[in-house]
Amino acid sequence: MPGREDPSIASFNAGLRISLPRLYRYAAHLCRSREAASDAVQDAVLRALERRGSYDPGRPLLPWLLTLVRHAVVDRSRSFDPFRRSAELDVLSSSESGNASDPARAVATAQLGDRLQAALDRLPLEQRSSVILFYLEGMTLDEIATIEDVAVGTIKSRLHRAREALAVLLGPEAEKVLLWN
Amino acid sequence: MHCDTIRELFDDLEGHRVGACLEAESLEHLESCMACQAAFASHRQVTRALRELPSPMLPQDLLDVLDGRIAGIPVAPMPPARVRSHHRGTMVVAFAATALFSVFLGVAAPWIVRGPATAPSAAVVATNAGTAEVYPDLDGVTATVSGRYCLPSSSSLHVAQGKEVDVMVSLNSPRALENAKVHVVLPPGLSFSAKAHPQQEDKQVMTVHDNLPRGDKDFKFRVKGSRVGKWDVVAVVEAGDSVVVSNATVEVSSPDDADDEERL
Repeated sequence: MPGREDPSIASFNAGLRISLPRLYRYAAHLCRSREAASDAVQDAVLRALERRGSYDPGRPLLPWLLTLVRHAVVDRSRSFDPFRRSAELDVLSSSESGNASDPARAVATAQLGDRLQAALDRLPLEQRSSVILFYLEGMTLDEIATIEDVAVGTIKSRLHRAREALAVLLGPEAEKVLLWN
Repeated sequence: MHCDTIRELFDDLEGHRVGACLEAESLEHLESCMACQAAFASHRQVTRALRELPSPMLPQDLLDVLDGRIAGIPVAPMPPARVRSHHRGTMVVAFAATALFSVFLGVAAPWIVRGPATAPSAAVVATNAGTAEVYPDLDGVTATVSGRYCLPSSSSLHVAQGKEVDVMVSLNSPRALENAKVHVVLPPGLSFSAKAHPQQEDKQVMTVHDNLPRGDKDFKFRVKGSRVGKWDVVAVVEAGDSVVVSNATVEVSSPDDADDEERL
């Protein structure tokens, strides 16, 4: 009878499918370009499917997938300019931010979002990755340490340095908007 | 408490992840140290702004290609970024064609969230209608997939190829769940009815957002049997970081077989 698939493969495929939006979001913030992010996610999915047999189903899937995305981004960073700021992400900042109920606040928040994105882009890749995983993806320090393949203390240190740098890059003008929120 | 020590605790303080004694000690230091007060205020501003950063959305064309890959269907790789930007129109047609064949056979994977360390993949799958696997994180909540045409002998739902059948996801929760999501994932041999769900673009995965009340709640979906075979319909209920998974088998028979059964 056709139509039956190995349950473990079906489970893996389902987990991979549901994780795709988060993999893309992580890649887009890391790459600073939608197109580079698309390429990186495709690479990561291919690697995930190739290594499906070696995946331990007793472990959470998402951190494992994010590790593959991170490797793909690092590999691809050798072929694209890491300092290129994609115009597409600028558009994203204005069009996809919330606060539609208060136009003035929405504009101010969007502007702050642009500045924060620009500040985030200026961080070294290691710090940027840790910040995205911790604040945007809600991963724990242990999970981030696994993804980045470093000690938890290193992640704490990266987050600390990243926050300090972001505070300086944002400057005092951000305070007004942030307090507004 | 030293200034360096408390500054390393800012994230934990903000998330209330420190013990009562340490929190009291930290607050005492913050009240007396202007420098740390300013640093904490700055920390909160930055972290708040970070959490409000807009999220890039996964493009549909990329999703279609990845769906095809996951389903094991040979698809042309998306061209490198430089080429793609010049041939987007052509590629959209190609992706649309790919999407027609993009199918997804799936059983939800609870380990995409923080599930138990020893989550066994086999336990996620059950082949009889109405069986459910409850993950401890969503304690007490049960989900059951069932339908009208459940035959006692096989415990499967039956539908003839080309016909439609109602599938019910029945939930029972000992408490109200806010902003819960109910995902129904269909395998390649089934698709959501275009008539019953005209707004549903994705024919294999449907997500319903709802505040689930305490007690029972049913969700009804109409699916079409498109290919002969036995197929697992999977329901995933998400609430926060927790999930409940349930599935049931739907057997799609050929129209000839269905006629024979009716005659009998």
